[in-house]
Amino acid sequence: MKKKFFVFVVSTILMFLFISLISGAHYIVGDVQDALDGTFSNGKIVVLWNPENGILDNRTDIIGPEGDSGADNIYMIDCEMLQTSCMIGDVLSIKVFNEGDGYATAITNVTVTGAGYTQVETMILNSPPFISSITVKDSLENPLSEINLVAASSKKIICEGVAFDYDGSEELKNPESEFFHLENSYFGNEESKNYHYINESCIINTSYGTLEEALIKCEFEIFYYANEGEWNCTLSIEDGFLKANKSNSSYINSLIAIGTQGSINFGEMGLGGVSSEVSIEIINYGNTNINLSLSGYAEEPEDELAMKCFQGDIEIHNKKYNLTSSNDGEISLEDFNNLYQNLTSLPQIRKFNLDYRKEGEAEEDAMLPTYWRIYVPPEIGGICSGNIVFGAIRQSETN
Amino acid sequence: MYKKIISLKFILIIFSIILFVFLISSKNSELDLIDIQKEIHLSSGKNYLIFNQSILASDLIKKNPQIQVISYFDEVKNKSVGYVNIFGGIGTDFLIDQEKIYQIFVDTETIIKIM
Repeated sequence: MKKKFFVFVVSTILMFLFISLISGAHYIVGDVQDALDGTFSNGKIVVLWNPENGILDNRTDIIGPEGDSGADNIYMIDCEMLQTSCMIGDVLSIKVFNEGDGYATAITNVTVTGAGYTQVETMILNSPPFISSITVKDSLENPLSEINLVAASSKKIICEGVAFDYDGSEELKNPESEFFHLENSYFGNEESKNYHYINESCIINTSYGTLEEALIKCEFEIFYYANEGEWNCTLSIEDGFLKANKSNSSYINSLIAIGTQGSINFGEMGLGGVSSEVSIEIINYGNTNINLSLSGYAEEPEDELAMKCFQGDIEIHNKKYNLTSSNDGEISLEDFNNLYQNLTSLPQIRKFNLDYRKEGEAEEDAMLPTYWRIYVPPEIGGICSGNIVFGAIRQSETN
Repeated sequence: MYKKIISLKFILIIFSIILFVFLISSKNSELDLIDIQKEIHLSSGKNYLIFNQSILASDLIKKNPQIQVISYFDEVKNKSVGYVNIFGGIGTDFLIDQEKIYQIFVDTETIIKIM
Protein backbone atom coordinates (compact mmCIF):
# COMPACT_ATOMS: atom_id res chain seq x y z
CA MET A 1 0.00 0.00 0.00
CA LYS A 2 2.84 2.33 0.91
CA LYS A 3 4.49 1.57 -2.45
CA LYS A 4 1.32 2.51 -4.35
CA PHE A 5 1.06 5.71 -2.39
CA PHE A 6 4.71 6.57 -3.16
CA VAL A 7 4.15 5.94 -6.87
CA PHE A 8 1.11 8.15 -6.80
CA VAL A 9 2.95 11.06 -5.18
CA VAL A 10 5.92 10.79 -7.57
CA SER A 11 3.56 10.64 -10.55
CA THR A 12 1.79 13.74 -9.36
CA ILE A 13 5.07 15.65 -9.00
CA LEU A 14 6.28 14.49 -12.43
CA MET A 15 2.97 15.49 -13.95
CA PHE A 16 3.35 18.92 -12.42
CA LEU A 17 6.92 19.33 -13.78
CA PHE A 18 5.87 18.03 -17.17
CA ILE A 19 3.02 20.46 -17.46
CA SER A 20 5.22 23.33 -16.41
CA LEU A 21 7.42 22.71 -19.45
CA ILE A 22 4.51 23.42 -21.73
CA SER A 23 4.34 27.03 -22.73
CA GLY A 24 1.71 28.51 -24.98
CA ALA A 25 2.53 30.98 -27.73
CA HIS A 26 0.49 33.55 -29.54
CA TYR A 27 2.29 35.32 -32.32
CA ILE A 28 1.66 38.89 -33.38
CA VAL A 29 2.75 38.97 -37.00
CA GLY A 30 2.84 41.63 -39.64
CA ASP A 31 4.76 43.18 -42.48
CA VAL A 32 6.51 46.50 -42.74
CA GLN A 33 6.94 47.92 -46.21
CA ASP A 34 10.23 49.53 -47.14
CA ALA A 35 10.43 53.31 -46.89
CA LEU A 36 9.48 55.19 -50.03
CA ASP A 37 13.02 56.53 -50.27
CA GLY A 38 14.16 52.94 -50.78
CA THR A 39 15.42 52.19 -47.28
CA PHE A 40 14.76 48.57 -46.34
CA SER A 41 12.67 47.73 -43.33
CA ASN A 42 14.75 44.60 -42.81
CA GLY A 43 16.98 45.02 -39.79
CA LYS A 44 14.74 47.57 -38.10
CA ILE A 45 13.45 46.81 -34.62
CA VAL A 46 9.77 46.30 -33.88
CA VAL A 47 8.50 46.85 -30.35
CA LEU A 48 5.32 45.32 -28.96
CA TRP A 49 3.70 46.26 -25.67
CA ASN A 50 0.39 46.43 -23.91
CA PRO A 51 -0.40 50.10 -23.16
CA GLU A 52 -2.30 49.04 -20.08
CA ASN A 53 0.89 47.59 -18.63
CA GLY A 54 3.26 50.25 -19.91
CA ILE A 55 5.95 50.15 -22.56
CA LEU A 56 8.55 48.85 -20.12
CA ASP A 57 6.89 45.44 -20.41
CA ASN A 58 7.72 44.91 -24.06
CA ARG A 59 8.99 42.37 -26.57
CA THR A 60 11.00 43.15 -29.66
CA ASP A 61 11.85 41.52 -32.93
CA ILE A 62 14.06 42.39 -35.86
CA ILE A 63 12.22 42.73 -39.14
CA GLY A 64 13.36 40.38 -41.88
CA PRO A 65 15.70 37.39 -42.10
CA GLU A 66 17.68 38.40 -39.02
CA GLY A 67 14.56 38.27 -36.86
CA ASP A 68 12.26 35.53 -35.66
CA SER A 69 10.16 35.58 -38.82
CA GLY A 70 13.12 34.78 -41.05
CA ALA A 71 11.30 36.49 -43.91
CA ASP A 72 11.82 39.79 -45.67
CA ASN A 73 9.76 42.68 -44.25
CA ILE A 74 8.05 40.39 -41.72
CA TYR A 75 8.18 40.31 -37.94
CA MET A 76 6.67 37.93 -35.40
CA ILE A 77 6.50 38.38 -31.68
CA ASP A 78 5.06 35.98 -29.11
CA CYS A 79 2.85 38.20 -26.99
CA GLU A 80 2.53 35.51 -24.36
CA MET A 81 6.17 36.22 -23.58
CA LEU A 82 5.30 39.66 -22.28
CA GLN A 83 5.81 39.81 -18.53
CA THR A 84 2.06 40.11 -18.32
CA SER A 85 1.03 37.56 -20.88
CA CYS A 86 -1.45 38.71 -23.52
CA MET A 87 -5.03 37.51 -23.46
CA ILE A 88 -7.68 37.33 -26.12
CA GLY A 89 -9.20 40.79 -26.50
CA ASP A 90 -6.14 42.68 -25.28
CA VAL A 91 -5.30 45.73 -27.37
CA LEU A 92 -1.57 45.75 -28.00
CA SER A 93 0.53 48.49 -29.50
CA ILE A 94 3.31 47.99 -31.99
CA LYS A 95 5.70 50.24 -33.83
CA VAL A 96 9.03 50.25 -35.56
CA PHE A 97 11.45 51.74 -33.08
CA ASN A 98 12.97 55.07 -34.05
CA GLU A 99 16.72 54.67 -33.71
CA GLY A 100 17.20 58.37 -34.31
CA ASP A 101 17.37 58.17 -38.08
CA GLY A 102 13.66 58.79 -38.63
CA TYR A 103 13.09 55.41 -40.21
CA ALA A 104 10.21 54.32 -37.99
CA THR A 105 6.46 53.93 -38.00
CA ALA A 106 3.59 55.36 -36.08
CA ILE A 107 2.03 53.22 -33.36
CA THR A 108 -0.43 50.64 -34.64
CA ASN A 109 -2.89 48.97 -32.30
CA VAL A 110 -4.06 45.41 -32.71
CA THR A 111 -6.54 43.29 -30.77
CA VAL A 112 -5.38 39.83 -29.78
CA THR A 113 -7.60 37.28 -31.47
CA GLY A 114 -8.49 33.77 -30.49
CA ALA A 115 -6.74 32.43 -33.59
CA GLY A 116 -3.30 30.90 -33.67
CA TYR A 117 -1.78 34.24 -34.44
CA THR A 118 -2.87 37.84 -34.81
CA GLN A 119 -2.01 39.73 -37.95
CA VAL A 120 -1.29 43.44 -37.71
CA GLU A 121 -2.19 45.72 -40.57
CA THR A 122 0.65 46.56 -42.90
CA MET A 123 2.91 49.33 -41.72
CA ILE A 124 5.05 51.52 -43.98
CA LEU A 125 8.48 52.62 -42.88
CA ASN A 126 8.67 56.38 -42.69
CA SER A 127 11.04 58.29 -44.91
CA PRO A 128 12.67 61.15 -43.01
CA PRO A 129 12.45 64.62 -44.53
CA PHE A 130 15.37 66.63 -45.76
CA ILE A 131 16.00 70.16 -46.92
CA SER A 132 17.43 70.23 -50.38
CA SER A 133 18.38 73.88 -50.65
CA ILE A 134 18.54 77.03 -48.57
CA THR A 135 19.19 80.68 -49.35
CA VAL A 136 19.61 83.74 -47.17
CA LYS A 137 18.76 87.02 -48.76
CA ASP A 138 17.62 90.56 -48.17
CA SER A 139 15.67 92.78 -50.53
CA LEU A 140 18.70 93.48 -52.68
CA GLU A 141 19.93 91.03 -55.29
CA ASN A 142 23.45 92.39 -55.08
CA PRO A 143 25.78 91.90 -53.44
CA LEU A 144 24.93 88.22 -53.11
CA SER A 145 25.31 86.68 -49.64
CA GLU A 146 25.82 90.08 -48.09
CA ILE A 147 23.39 92.00 -45.95
CA ASN A 148 23.46 95.76 -45.52
CA LEU A 149 21.59 96.90 -42.44
CA VAL A 150 19.58 100.11 -42.22
CA ALA A 151 20.65 102.81 -39.78
CA ALA A 152 18.33 103.29 -36.80
CA SER A 153 15.91 100.78 -38.25
CA SER A 154 15.52 97.10 -39.08
CA LYS A 155 15.86 95.11 -42.24
CA LYS A 156 13.86 92.12 -43.38
CA ILE A 157 15.98 89.04 -44.02
CA ILE A 158 14.49 85.96 -45.62
CA CYS A 159 15.83 82.50 -45.00
CA GLU A 160 14.18 80.23 -47.50
CA GLY A 161 14.54 76.54 -48.25
CA VAL A 162 12.96 73.66 -50.11
CA ALA A 163 12.02 70.67 -47.96
CA PHE A 164 11.38 67.21 -49.34
CA ASP A 165 9.53 64.25 -47.88
CA TYR A 166 8.95 61.05 -49.86
CA ASP A 167 5.83 60.44 -47.79
CA GLY A 168 4.35 63.69 -49.08
CA SER A 169 4.89 67.30 -48.11
CA GLU A 170 1.70 67.22 -46.00
CA GLU A 171 3.73 65.28 -43.42
CA LEU A 172 6.00 68.27 -42.90
CA LYS A 173 5.38 70.44 -39.87
CA ASN A 174 6.93 72.83 -37.36
CA PRO A 175 9.20 74.77 -39.69
CA GLU A 176 11.66 76.79 -37.65
CA SER A 177 14.74 78.80 -38.27
CA GLU A 178 17.57 80.35 -36.36
CA PHE A 179 19.76 83.12 -37.72
CA PHE A 180 22.85 83.69 -35.67
CA HIS A 181 26.33 85.16 -35.67
CA LEU A 182 28.79 82.34 -36.21
CA GLU A 183 31.43 83.61 -33.80
CA ASN A 184 29.21 85.04 -31.09
CA SER A 185 26.49 82.42 -30.97
CA TYR A 186 25.51 78.89 -31.84
CA PHE A 187 22.46 76.90 -32.87
CA GLY A 188 20.08 76.60 -29.93
CA ASN A 189 21.33 79.69 -28.16
CA GLU A 190 18.92 82.25 -26.70
CA GLU A 191 17.65 85.20 -28.70
CA SER A 192 19.62 88.42 -28.92
CA LYS A 193 19.18 91.29 -31.34
CA ASN A 194 22.95 91.49 -31.51
CA TYR A 195 23.71 87.92 -32.48
CA HIS A 196 20.79 85.49 -32.48
CA TYR A 197 17.34 85.62 -34.04
CA ILE A 198 14.73 82.85 -33.85
CA ASN A 199 11.61 82.38 -35.94
CA GLU A 200 9.36 79.59 -34.69
CA SER A 201 6.48 80.39 -36.98
CA CYS A 202 7.91 80.12 -40.44
CA ILE A 203 5.56 79.73 -43.35
CA ILE A 204 5.31 76.39 -45.10
CA ASN A 205 3.92 76.25 -48.59
CA THR A 206 3.05 72.69 -49.57
CA SER A 207 1.70 73.82 -52.92
CA TYR A 208 5.23 74.51 -54.02
CA GLY A 209 6.85 72.09 -56.50
CA THR A 210 5.97 68.42 -56.49
CA LEU A 211 3.73 66.61 -54.01
CA GLU A 212 6.80 65.78 -51.98
CA GLU A 213 8.18 69.32 -51.87
CA ALA A 214 7.38 72.32 -49.73
CA LEU A 215 8.79 75.80 -49.57
CA ILE A 216 9.77 77.03 -46.14
CA LYS A 217 10.02 80.77 -45.69
CA CYS A 218 11.34 82.33 -42.52
CA GLU A 219 11.53 86.08 -42.10
CA PHE A 220 13.63 87.99 -39.62
CA GLU A 221 13.66 91.68 -38.75
CA ILE A 222 17.33 92.30 -38.21
CA PHE A 223 18.07 95.41 -36.21
CA TYR A 224 20.72 97.97 -37.07
CA TYR A 225 22.91 96.86 -34.17
CA ALA A 226 23.19 93.19 -35.22
CA ASN A 227 26.86 92.27 -35.08
CA GLU A 228 28.92 92.53 -38.18
CA GLY A 229 30.35 89.26 -39.49
CA GLU A 230 29.37 85.87 -40.85
CA TRP A 231 25.90 84.74 -39.91
CA ASN A 232 24.36 81.31 -40.21
CA CYS A 233 20.77 80.54 -41.06
CA THR A 234 19.65 77.06 -40.03
CA LEU A 235 16.26 75.88 -41.25
CA SER A 236 14.56 72.91 -39.66
CA ILE A 237 11.48 70.90 -40.42
CA GLU A 238 10.08 67.70 -38.98
CA ASP A 239 7.72 64.92 -39.94
CA GLY A 240 6.97 63.55 -36.48
CA PHE A 241 9.93 61.21 -36.50
CA LEU A 242 12.95 63.30 -37.39
CA LYS A 243 13.89 66.96 -37.44
CA ALA A 244 15.87 67.72 -40.57
CA ASN A 245 17.89 70.87 -40.92
CA LYS A 246 20.18 72.63 -43.31
CA SER A 247 22.32 75.73 -42.99
CA ASN A 248 23.70 78.45 -45.14
CA SER A 249 25.66 81.55 -44.30
CA SER A 250 25.58 85.20 -45.18
CA TYR A 251 27.64 88.21 -44.20
CA ILE A 252 26.29 91.22 -42.37
CA ASN A 253 28.35 94.23 -43.30
CA SER A 254 29.41 96.86 -40.84
CA LEU A 255 27.06 99.78 -40.43
CA ILE A 256 28.64 103.07 -39.39
CA ALA A 257 25.92 105.53 -38.56
CA ILE A 258 25.20 108.20 -35.98
CA GLY A 259 22.37 110.55 -35.19
CA THR A 260 22.03 113.65 -33.06
CA GLN A 261 19.18 114.91 -31.00
CA GLY A 262 18.25 118.53 -31.62
CA SER A 263 20.51 121.41 -32.59
CA ILE A 264 22.92 123.69 -30.80
CA ASN A 265 21.52 127.00 -29.71
CA PHE A 266 23.95 129.15 -27.77
CA GLY A 267 21.21 131.67 -27.07
CA GLU A 268 21.56 135.41 -26.71
CA MET A 269 24.91 136.53 -25.39
CA GLY A 270 27.00 139.58 -24.82
CA LEU A 271 29.78 140.58 -27.10
CA GLY A 272 33.31 139.61 -26.20
CA GLY A 273 32.18 136.75 -24.01
CA VAL A 274 32.15 132.96 -23.90
CA SER A 275 28.79 131.28 -24.24
CA SER A 276 27.35 128.93 -21.70
CA GLU A 277 28.00 125.25 -22.36
CA VAL A 278 25.59 123.50 -24.68
CA SER A 279 25.53 119.76 -25.05
CA ILE A 280 24.43 117.67 -27.96
CA GLU A 281 24.01 113.93 -27.82
CA ILE A 282 25.45 111.60 -30.42
CA ILE A 283 23.63 108.28 -30.87
CA ASN A 284 25.25 105.26 -32.45
CA TYR A 285 22.84 103.99 -35.09
CA GLY A 286 25.16 101.34 -36.43
CA ASN A 287 26.78 98.07 -35.40
CA THR A 288 30.35 99.16 -34.69
CA ASN A 289 32.03 101.19 -32.00
CA ILE A 290 32.83 104.60 -33.33
CA ASN A 291 34.95 107.69 -32.95
CA LEU A 292 34.01 111.09 -34.30
CA SER A 293 35.28 113.29 -37.02
CA LEU A 294 34.40 116.93 -36.48
CA SER A 295 34.49 119.98 -38.69
CA GLY A 296 32.51 123.14 -39.16
CA TYR A 297 31.62 125.92 -41.56
CA ALA A 298 29.37 128.93 -41.75
CA GLU A 299 27.97 128.85 -45.26
CA GLU A 300 30.24 126.61 -47.33
CA PRO A 301 32.58 123.83 -46.30
CA GLU A 302 36.11 124.90 -45.51
CA ASP A 303 35.16 128.57 -45.31
CA GLU A 304 37.17 128.78 -42.06
CA LEU A 305 34.18 130.26 -40.27
CA ALA A 306 32.21 128.93 -37.35
CA MET A 307 29.28 131.24 -37.90
CA LYS A 308 28.15 133.98 -40.18
CA CYS A 309 26.41 136.77 -38.37
CA PHE A 310 24.27 139.71 -39.36
CA GLN A 311 27.28 141.83 -38.48
CA GLY A 312 30.67 140.13 -38.98
CA ASP A 313 31.75 136.50 -38.87
CA ILE A 314 33.00 134.24 -36.11
CA GLU A 315 36.17 132.39 -37.06
CA ILE A 316 36.18 128.64 -36.81
CA HIS A 317 38.64 128.38 -33.93
CA ASN A 318 36.23 130.34 -31.69
CA LYS A 319 33.85 127.40 -31.59
CA LYS A 320 35.19 124.71 -29.31
CA TYR A 321 34.18 121.33 -27.93
CA ASN A 322 34.93 118.86 -25.21
CA LEU A 323 34.07 115.22 -25.95
CA THR A 324 34.74 113.78 -22.52
CA SER A 325 33.62 116.09 -19.73
CA SER A 326 31.25 118.89 -18.99
CA ASN A 327 32.44 122.20 -17.54
CA ASP A 328 29.25 123.85 -16.55
CA GLY A 329 28.87 127.48 -15.46
CA GLU A 330 30.60 130.65 -16.48
CA ILE A 331 34.25 130.30 -17.43
CA SER A 332 37.00 132.66 -18.41
CA LEU A 333 38.41 132.93 -21.90
CA GLU A 334 41.57 131.27 -20.64
CA ASP A 335 39.66 128.26 -19.29
CA PHE A 336 37.68 128.18 -22.49
CA ASN A 337 40.90 127.86 -24.46
CA ASN A 338 42.34 125.26 -22.07
CA LEU A 339 39.33 123.01 -21.53
CA TYR A 340 37.92 122.89 -25.05
CA GLN A 341 39.36 121.88 -28.40
CA ASN A 342 39.09 124.07 -31.47
CA LEU A 343 36.65 123.16 -34.17
CA THR A 344 38.35 123.06 -37.57
CA SER A 345 37.26 123.53 -41.12
CA LEU A 346 38.84 120.26 -42.16
CA PRO A 347 37.56 117.15 -40.41
CA GLN A 348 39.54 116.09 -37.39
CA ILE A 349 39.17 112.56 -36.05
CA ARG A 350 38.66 112.47 -32.31
CA LYS A 351 38.53 109.57 -29.92
CA PHE A 352 34.94 109.16 -28.74
CA ASN A 353 34.56 105.43 -27.87
CA LEU A 354 30.86 105.26 -28.54
CA ASP A 355 29.67 101.67 -28.26
CA TYR A 356 26.88 100.38 -30.40
CA ARG A 357 23.58 99.34 -28.88
CA LYS A 358 23.45 96.06 -27.03
CA GLU A 359 20.63 93.58 -26.38
CA GLY A 360 18.26 94.86 -23.72
CA GLU A 361 19.46 98.42 -23.98
CA ALA A 362 17.40 101.38 -25.09
CA GLU A 363 18.40 103.46 -28.07
CA GLU A 364 19.62 106.15 -25.70
CA ASP A 365 22.05 103.75 -24.07
CA ALA A 366 24.22 103.93 -27.17
CA MET A 367 24.52 107.67 -26.78
CA LEU A 368 27.21 110.06 -25.51
CA PRO A 369 27.12 113.84 -25.06
CA THR A 370 29.43 116.37 -26.61
CA TYR A 371 29.92 119.80 -24.99
CA TRP A 372 30.20 123.06 -26.92
CA ARG A 373 30.96 126.70 -26.31
CA ILE A 374 31.58 129.65 -28.57
CA TYR A 375 33.48 132.85 -28.10
CA VAL A 376 31.86 135.90 -29.70
CA PRO A 377 34.36 138.64 -30.53
CA PRO A 378 33.32 142.26 -29.69
CA GLU A 379 32.83 143.33 -33.30
CA ILE A 380 30.10 140.74 -33.98
CA GLY A 381 26.40 141.57 -33.95
CA GLY A 382 23.01 140.20 -34.91
CA ILE A 383 21.80 136.65 -35.45
CA CYS A 384 24.50 134.10 -36.23
CA SER A 385 24.27 130.72 -37.84
CA GLY A 386 26.75 128.02 -38.70
CA ASN A 387 27.19 124.29 -39.14
CA ILE A 388 28.95 121.51 -37.30
CA VAL A 389 29.62 118.36 -39.26
CA PHE A 390 29.61 115.19 -37.16
CA GLY A 391 31.15 112.19 -38.87
CA ALA A 392 31.48 108.62 -37.57
CA ILE A 393 34.66 106.64 -37.94
CA ARG A 394 34.95 103.00 -37.12
CA GLN A 395 36.82 102.81 -33.85
CA SER A 396 39.18 99.99 -34.87
CA GLU A 397 40.40 102.15 -37.76
CA THR A 398 41.34 105.04 -35.52
CA ASN A 399 42.46 103.44 -32.24
CA MET B 1 -4.41 3.24 9.68
CA TYR B 2 -5.58 2.05 6.29
CA LYS B 3 -8.51 4.47 6.41
CA LYS B 4 -6.18 7.33 7.16
CA ILE B 5 -4.02 6.48 4.12
CA ILE B 6 -7.14 6.16 1.95
CA SER B 7 -8.28 9.57 3.18
CA LEU B 8 -4.84 11.14 2.52
CA LYS B 9 -4.80 9.60 -0.96
CA PHE B 10 -8.23 11.01 -1.67
CA ILE B 11 -7.10 14.50 -0.62
CA LEU B 12 -4.02 14.24 -2.85
CA ILE B 13 -6.11 13.12 -5.82
CA ILE B 14 -8.49 16.04 -5.36
CA PHE B 15 -5.54 18.42 -4.97
CA SER B 16 -3.86 17.04 -8.12
CA ILE B 17 -7.06 17.40 -10.13
CA ILE B 18 -7.49 20.97 -8.95
CA LEU B 19 -3.85 21.77 -9.75
CA PHE B 20 -4.12 20.11 -13.14
CA VAL B 21 -7.32 21.93 -14.04
CA PHE B 22 -5.84 25.21 -12.85
CA LEU B 23 -2.72 24.87 -14.96
CA ILE B 24 -4.62 23.87 -18.03
CA SER B 25 -7.21 26.56 -17.69
CA SER B 26 -4.56 29.19 -17.05
CA LYS B 27 -3.08 28.44 -20.45
CA ASN B 28 -6.48 28.59 -22.06
CA SER B 29 -5.77 25.45 -23.92
CA GLU B 30 -6.53 21.86 -24.36
CA LEU B 31 -3.78 19.40 -23.50
CA ASP B 32 -3.23 16.37 -25.71
CA LEU B 33 -0.12 14.51 -24.70
CA ILE B 34 -0.32 11.93 -27.38
CA ASP B 35 2.07 9.72 -29.22
CA ILE B 36 0.99 9.84 -32.79
CA GLN B 37 1.55 7.54 -35.66
CA LYS B 38 0.02 8.80 -38.88
CA GLU B 39 -3.10 10.74 -38.08
CA ILE B 40 -4.31 12.68 -35.14
CA HIS B 41 -7.53 14.34 -34.28
CA LEU B 42 -7.08 17.93 -33.07
CA SER B 43 -9.53 20.16 -31.32
CA SER B 44 -10.09 23.78 -32.25
CA GLY B 45 -7.50 25.98 -30.52
CA LYS B 46 -4.30 24.96 -28.86
CA ASN B 47 -3.24 21.32 -28.84
CA TYR B 48 -0.17 20.01 -27.06
CA LEU B 49 1.51 17.01 -28.68
CA ILE B 50 4.54 14.80 -28.47
CA PHE B 51 5.59 13.36 -31.81
CA ASN B 52 7.16 9.98 -32.22
CA GLN B 53 8.89 10.83 -35.46
CA SER B 54 10.82 13.73 -36.95
CA ILE B 55 9.47 16.13 -39.49
CA LEU B 56 10.16 19.73 -40.45
CA ALA B 57 7.60 22.21 -39.17
CA SER B 58 7.19 23.60 -42.70
CA ASP B 59 6.58 20.11 -44.08
CA LEU B 60 3.98 19.41 -41.43
CA ILE B 61 2.17 22.62 -42.34
CA LYS B 62 2.42 21.89 -46.06
CA LYS B 63 0.74 18.56 -45.44
CA ASN B 64 -1.77 20.14 -43.11
CA PRO B 65 -2.48 23.72 -44.15
CA GLN B 66 -5.22 23.89 -41.55
CA ILE B 67 -2.46 24.25 -38.94
CA GLN B 68 -2.01 27.91 -38.11
CA VAL B 69 0.94 27.72 -35.78
CA ILE B 70 3.29 25.10 -34.49
CA SER B 71 5.62 26.06 -31.68
CA TYR B 72 7.57 24.88 -28.69
CA PHE B 73 9.29 26.51 -25.79
CA ASP B 74 13.09 26.72 -26.02
CA GLU B 75 14.34 26.58 -22.46
CA VAL B 76 17.86 27.66 -23.44
CA LYS B 77 16.67 30.80 -25.20
CA ASN B 78 13.80 31.15 -22.74
CA LYS B 79 11.40 31.93 -25.54
CA SER B 80 8.96 30.20 -27.77
CA VAL B 81 10.09 29.04 -31.18
CA GLY B 82 7.35 28.94 -33.75
CA TYR B 83 6.46 28.48 -37.35
CA VAL B 84 3.39 30.41 -38.49
CA ASN B 85 1.30 29.55 -41.52
CA ILE B 86 1.07 33.04 -42.99
CA PHE B 87 2.96 34.89 -45.73
CA GLY B 88 3.93 31.47 -47.13
CA GLY B 89 5.29 30.34 -43.79
CA ILE B 90 7.33 32.46 -41.43
CA GLY B 91 9.38 31.79 -38.36
CA THR B 92 11.91 29.14 -37.52
CA ASP B 93 11.54 26.04 -39.63
CA PHE B 94 12.59 23.63 -36.90
CA LEU B 95 12.79 19.89 -36.91
CA ILE B 96 10.06 18.34 -34.82
CA ASP B 97 11.55 15.61 -32.68
CA GLN B 98 10.51 13.31 -29.88
CA GLU B 99 12.09 15.35 -27.10
CA LYS B 100 9.70 18.23 -26.83
CA ILE B 101 6.10 19.10 -26.38
CA TYR B 102 4.71 21.05 -29.31
CA GLN B 103 1.80 23.39 -29.43
CA ILE B 104 -0.25 23.13 -32.59
CA PHE B 105 -3.01 25.62 -33.18
CA VAL B 106 -5.86 24.89 -35.54
CA ASP B 107 -8.89 27.10 -35.89
CA THR B 108 -11.34 24.26 -36.39
CA GLU B 109 -11.55 20.70 -35.22
CA THR B 110 -9.51 18.69 -37.68
CA ILE B 111 -7.45 15.62 -38.40
CA ILE B 112 -3.82 16.13 -39.35
CA LYS B 113 -1.59 13.73 -41.16
CA ILE B 114 2.07 13.17 -40.48
CA MET B 115 3.08 10.79 -43.24
